[in-house]
Amino acid sequence: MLFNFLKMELYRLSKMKSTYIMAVIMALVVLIYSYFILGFNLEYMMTLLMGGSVPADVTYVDPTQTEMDVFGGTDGSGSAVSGVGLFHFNTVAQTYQMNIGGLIGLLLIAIVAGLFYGNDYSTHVNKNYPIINGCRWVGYTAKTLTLMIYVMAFHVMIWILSLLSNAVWASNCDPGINAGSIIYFFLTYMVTVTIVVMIGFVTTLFKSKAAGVTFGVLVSVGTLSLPVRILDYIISAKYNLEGFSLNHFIPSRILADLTVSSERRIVIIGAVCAIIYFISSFFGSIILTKKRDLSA
Amino acid sequence: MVMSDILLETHGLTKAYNKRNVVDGVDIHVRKGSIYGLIGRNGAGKTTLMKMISGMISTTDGTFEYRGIAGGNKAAYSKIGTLIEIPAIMPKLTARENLKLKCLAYGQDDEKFISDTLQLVGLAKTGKVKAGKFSLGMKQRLGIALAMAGNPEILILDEPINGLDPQGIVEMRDMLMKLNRERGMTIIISSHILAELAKLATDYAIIDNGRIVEESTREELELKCRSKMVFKVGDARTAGAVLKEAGFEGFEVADEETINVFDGYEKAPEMNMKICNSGILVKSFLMETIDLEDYFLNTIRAGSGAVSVKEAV
Repeated sequence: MLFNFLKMELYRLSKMKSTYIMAVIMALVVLIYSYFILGFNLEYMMTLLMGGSVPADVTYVDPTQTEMDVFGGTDGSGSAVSGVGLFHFNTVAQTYQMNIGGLIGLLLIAIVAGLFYGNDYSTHVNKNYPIINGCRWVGYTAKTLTLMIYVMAFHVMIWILSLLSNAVWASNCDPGINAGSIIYFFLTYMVTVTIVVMIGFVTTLFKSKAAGVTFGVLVSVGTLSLPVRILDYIISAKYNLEGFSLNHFIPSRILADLTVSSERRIVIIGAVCAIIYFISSFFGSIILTKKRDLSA
Repeated sequence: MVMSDILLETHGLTKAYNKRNVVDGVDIHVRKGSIYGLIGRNGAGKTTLMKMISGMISTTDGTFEYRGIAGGNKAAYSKIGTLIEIPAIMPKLTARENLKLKCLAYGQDDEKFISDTLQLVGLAKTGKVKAGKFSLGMKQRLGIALAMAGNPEILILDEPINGLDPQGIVEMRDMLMKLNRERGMTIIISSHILAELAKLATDYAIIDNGRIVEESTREELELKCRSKMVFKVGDARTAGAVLKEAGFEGFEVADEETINVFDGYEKAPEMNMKICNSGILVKSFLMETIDLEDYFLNTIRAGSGAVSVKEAV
């Protein structure tokens, strides 16, 4: 039955316009952002604006060429070349990490998740499925699995676009695949899924699509960063804990601060937190859906 | 009612909200292939009872059995299709897509079934029109199509003709009749429009204040509702004996002063004369006709003693 409901939820997700709109927006964001970090001569532009002289090694791919500007130009043989962005020498994994760390992807996924989980409460279609009234966990689990597949597809798309961006604008196309980048990929996936399930919990708790979307947006836009900093300051002033930061325990901040070269302690804390938040939110939602009567 | 025919039965189903029993120890018996009409006022507990049977809400007490299978599990719920209160549809999907969703969930991804069902409910030609743009009647029909997905054996329909225009009501009635007769679908239906329910239902349950006041078949109800001539006399038992002696048939002595005559109304003047001639006072005689609505109201009011009938003659 779970498999049938999974097929149904995947079909429903495939019929939601926001599924595609968010993916297209993300693709554009990744391409634009990657261009700016890889191939846009930001330093050249800033130096020009300030009226200074531009060192050739940060301005041009080919120092012998003079027909180049912030967007690149042509090299000695007449082939098009890109400019040298601040992160022109990134590996694909680093470009991917910068795109994930921007949290735009999380914001877009959060909107889809809120809309997807909240659909039951806006249309009441769940009352059409009496078959799961004896085992309501099936419905919620199918939704969560569907979103896990969507999040994975989203992350894979970001990685592929990062690869393409590197191929076009960076100095190299090195995937940068190593233990650190693989762990980074799966940990960021895990944390994103955790946030998605937390959105599901909020949606279920308040029986509202709006509540889920609002929570997702608030988490994604960094609403927590200021209070976390203040709390961090207070804690470090009071207890003098070296290396402690609340950021390491908050899923959205983990996503923003984690890098492919983060130290092992931070990675483990992130993974443990993700698992704990996932389990609490998931089973919290299951208990709520099981105990509650369906409203019509 | 033959017990072996019973498809669904409830045993003391009870639902309490804030310590008040909205449904109070309800026992109903739904025969296979019947159209079971639930009659009751607003707030009588019809919808709550239907929700409990379909598992939408938990029970405070009691159980239900589906063909011998205890309720509250997949085996029982998988046999039930519901349309309770407003039809729940995805407004941005077409009728076909809405139906496909439920078919996928029930492991019945069969395009032919979807086409046939849409044809049956008259939505086959809606094409790419989104369900959100449907009229209420179309939404109700889509709701019934959704209830039918997964091949349930029993449909639970709560006020499916609410808000429909006369044409829509006739179409809905025809469709439900077709489902019942051609597909052998058992239907539990509630409606405020009792005249319409009378045209559909084969069995009835009258529910009031969360309790089943009466449960009967159409035949039993027709017997109770049939037209009759009512004599109010000084001594009904003696008058009855006089009539019997005179060779009259098709009457019953209802109480100390009432004789009901079910057949041979044209002989009423003669009967009157016989009774009068035997020295018994005839206070009145009149024709009584009673329809489902009157019967329902009388049954509900029985507790307070206020009974009304339509009178003729």
